[in-house]
Amino acid sequence: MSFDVVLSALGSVENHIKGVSLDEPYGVKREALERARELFLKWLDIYKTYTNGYRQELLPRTQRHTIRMLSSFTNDLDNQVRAVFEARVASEAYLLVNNLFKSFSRTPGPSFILVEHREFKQTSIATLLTDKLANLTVPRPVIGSANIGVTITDIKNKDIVVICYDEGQFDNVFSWPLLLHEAFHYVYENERLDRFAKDCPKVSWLEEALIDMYIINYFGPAYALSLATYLQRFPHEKTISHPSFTSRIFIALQYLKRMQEAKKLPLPVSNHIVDVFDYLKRVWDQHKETDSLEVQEQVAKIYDSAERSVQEMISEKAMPFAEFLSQNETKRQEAFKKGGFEFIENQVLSVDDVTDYFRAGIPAAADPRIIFNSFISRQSQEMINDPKAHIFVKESLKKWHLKKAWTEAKDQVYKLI
Amino acid sequence: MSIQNIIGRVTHGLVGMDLFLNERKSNDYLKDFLTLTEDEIKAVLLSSISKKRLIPQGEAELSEEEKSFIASIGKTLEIIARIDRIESKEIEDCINELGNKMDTIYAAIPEM
Repeated sequence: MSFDVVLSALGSVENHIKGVSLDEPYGVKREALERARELFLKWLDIYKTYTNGYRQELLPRTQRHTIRMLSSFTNDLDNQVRAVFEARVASEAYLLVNNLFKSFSRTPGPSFILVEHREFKQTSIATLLTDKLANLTVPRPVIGSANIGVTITDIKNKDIVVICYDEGQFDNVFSWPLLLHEAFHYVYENERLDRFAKDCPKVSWLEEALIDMYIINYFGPAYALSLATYLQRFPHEKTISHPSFTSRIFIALQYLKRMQEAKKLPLPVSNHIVDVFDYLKRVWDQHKETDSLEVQEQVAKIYDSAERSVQEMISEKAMPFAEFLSQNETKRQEAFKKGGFEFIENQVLSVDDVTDYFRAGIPAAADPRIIFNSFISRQSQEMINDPKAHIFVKESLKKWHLKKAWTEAKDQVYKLI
Repeated sequence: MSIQNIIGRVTHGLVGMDLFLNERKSNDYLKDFLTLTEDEIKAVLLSSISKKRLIPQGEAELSEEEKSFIASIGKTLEIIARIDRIESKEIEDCINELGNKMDTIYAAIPEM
């Protein structure tokens, strides 16, 4: 038995990493994958160094265990690489997540990749690596083991956010708002938003509950709908890290109820929000007995304690959904008055416009928040399994992205002239 | 914490005992093994189970093989804590027993 088999397997993984195609249409994805490739090659070098270290130890009784461990680590790395470079989610999902990062992070937003996994979660390449190597001494014969420390520091400095999606959802664009929840974990940590949670009950799942609040305030009822639809698959799942399914629906219900009461939303969203409320209420009624009253009270307290801070933070960075819709309508009316609506860069589209475009089978270059919230009415809820709706959303995001790129480029040229 | 990390530290325990038998002095591999705790191992194994089967974490239970693996780690921790005073034969038996348990764990967890 020899360590050569491990080095050979690592060589195959290296060839795989070097051979992946980075022919991506969107810069945000292409650059992120390029950086991921660089980090994975550094990760691989660390495993090679460990392997060469163990092979120099005299291990008459345990060499096979060491080889087995290294093989497991190598397979795991290969799986990580495949999950990144063979992820099946459409590239337009990058546009949606990037838009959130650009709104909430200090410029420039972080580099990130969307990765196929068993569940939705957020991590980073450096975290994945250091998690594997925690409390694992560098093999003794390695000369200059400090080099491994330097490589790990380098990986941390060039780290990249990893947003995992449930592999079963790869072709479901209506689950994409859940990616925003995972992306917001990064914002929450970097902006130290826990400072707004001082008066909230100290429960282990506080961050998850607050992030639901942030995203629903930012993205509107479309997020609540995605969350409820997804969580129905795992209705009784309780963990120490997340509030239970029904509690998360309860947070969304609170938001929708206040939206209805405030009567801030323009038509047709103000009508559609009733449909979303009814949908969530039906789901909640079916499962609410699985939740203890204590948990529901904690959730209500969190909502009451944090609602104002959440809205203020969203206002400062990106405008809460209700205000965004109102301002969008004002801009739309102004654009109509100015004329030139036939030019795509002058268009400001409402939810009604997007619905009309969908009926006509033409992608709409609308803001992502408008696109996704055009599918929340009772009628549209039945459409979420229709492949046409999924294609429409993807193509609309693409068109919106091109419109933005074109408008920005034109503005730059005007400035130069 | 990942299952690979637990496996890594257990392997370092095995490597550390092997080297101890060769050199009759303690080493850093053994120190890595001593950082393992029962709660940590249980949490990782349960998390691995619940992800695999999509069942609630609260309802997941350790298999007999996993319980036996944890017990064997506990026994090895005790041996390593007083390794200077242990007969070579007992250390060799410990390597064999823990090594066999590791084989069972590799077979039981497909992602390994």
